[in-house]
Amino acid sequence: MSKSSGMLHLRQQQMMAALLAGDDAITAHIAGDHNLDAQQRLSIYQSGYRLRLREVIDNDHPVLGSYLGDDLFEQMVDGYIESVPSRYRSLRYYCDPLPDYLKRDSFFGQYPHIAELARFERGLLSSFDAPDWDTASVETLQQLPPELWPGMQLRFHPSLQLFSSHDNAVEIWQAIKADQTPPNPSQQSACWVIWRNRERLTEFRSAAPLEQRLIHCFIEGENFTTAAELTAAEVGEEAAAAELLSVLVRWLELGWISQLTGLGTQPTLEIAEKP
Amino acid sequence: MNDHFLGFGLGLRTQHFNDVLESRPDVDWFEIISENFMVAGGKPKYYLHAIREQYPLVMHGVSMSIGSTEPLDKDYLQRLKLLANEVQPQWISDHLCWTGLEGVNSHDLLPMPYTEEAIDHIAGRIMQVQETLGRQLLLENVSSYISYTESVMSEWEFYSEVVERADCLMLLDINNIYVSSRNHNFDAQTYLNSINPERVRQFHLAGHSDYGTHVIDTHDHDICDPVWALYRKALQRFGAVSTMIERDDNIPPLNQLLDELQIARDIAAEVLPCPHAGKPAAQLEIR
Repeated sequence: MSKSSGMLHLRQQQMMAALLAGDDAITAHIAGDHNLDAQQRLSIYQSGYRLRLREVIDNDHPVLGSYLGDDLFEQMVDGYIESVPSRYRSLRYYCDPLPDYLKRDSFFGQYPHIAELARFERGLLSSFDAPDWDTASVETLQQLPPELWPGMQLRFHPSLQLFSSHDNAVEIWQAIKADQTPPNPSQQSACWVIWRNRERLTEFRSAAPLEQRLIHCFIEGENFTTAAELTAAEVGEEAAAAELLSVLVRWLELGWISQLTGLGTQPTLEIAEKP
Repeated sequence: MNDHFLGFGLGLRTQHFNDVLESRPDVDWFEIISENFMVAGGKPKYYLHAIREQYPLVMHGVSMSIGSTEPLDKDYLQRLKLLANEVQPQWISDHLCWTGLEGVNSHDLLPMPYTEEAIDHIAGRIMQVQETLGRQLLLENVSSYISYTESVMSEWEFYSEVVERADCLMLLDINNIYVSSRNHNFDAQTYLNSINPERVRQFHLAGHSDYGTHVIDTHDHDICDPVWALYRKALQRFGAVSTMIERDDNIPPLNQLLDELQIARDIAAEVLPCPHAGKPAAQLEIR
């Protein structure tokens, strides 16, 4: 670094310290006048920084905001902005670490469903602008030569995510979205599928245990034969083929599947499961 | 007439995506915020492509951080280049400022000290960016609320020198000149008079919030009369320059922005001898 950029670097460090931590060392290098002194001028940037980030949290997490109410929302905003400076070029991603922050915060961490509510809203946003891939149709399945069915694998649409949770965060989200009183938080095992439909709208629906296992089965690169065995273990040999076919047709109709392949290509799927 | 005159444009905002496609408004071109479309897919990309089929686009970035003392973000530049390959914009712009340090982004357009050292620093980085993108970059003057005691020249001298040394182009934000002239008590006309017309490729117009002692560049109001007056003077000095309105908050219906854009067209029609001023870009020869 040159001597000159050393001065620039120092000023930039001082400015960032003023924005992130309220440090006022930079004011000695800011010219004031009769209208505004150096501190007043600096405070325009300090206020702008907070307002901008606050607006992002508000826009990205409207249901979480409604659920918390004004006071708790401000508490969350203050704590998050102080603890988590943006490391992203786009504000679109600023709240990506919000669920983790809520989980480890000494206050909000007492209420794990709040972090889950945030995680669910992040999941909806991730599906919203996931890559555009074509979706396979039921006809694609019907046209597959019978000899390829046993080895058939699936490539899910990149917007599809599994949201597994141990509480009723999604039910709380749904109630608030519908302007209804949210249920009390409770522990329950739940699994939801989030995806973007063919009209580019984000949707979600609950996944039954067999459906969850089948999704995992195909995510792991297993083929139709393995999926059929898994289904048979659940519903019996006789009903297995019809059940599995019904599941596949539903997935195809919903636009969850981008590609049917018997070539052993690894499916691509972002999993938003709780670690 | 300026060979690169696109006519009169608007900032493309999500609130207007549907209206733009359905009503195909009388806008000559749109400016997109580059970072908003650095996503993989979904609605943003769908509308981007659909609107690109019908309108010329330019790309305007907010996070290149050309003045920062941290290394240029090569990953960002590559993503910008990929987006440019996809969009085929008429040009790419960003701001004469810095936005963050050591991996932390302030998401603000922070001003530089106006020093020889800062000119050297920025000009070298602009040349690197232009090399990567394979084209000249437009740099916009930002609104500012502070000036550094180390500054040894005016903003317009600094801006001009950076642009000449880096051989880049100017996106002159008329509202920002007004805002900074109020905040730093300088004469906006002097600013305009010092700018080399050969370097000016685009104008921005926008609204701001006036607090009496200072003015903040909020982009949430209509354009005020003093800014329109400065725009008139800018046209007199620079001729037909592609002009667009930025509105980023308190965003009104598209029709309201079209009415505001018509004011820009009317002023241009009064000021400019060029018979094409105020005509849609499709009727012009656009490079």
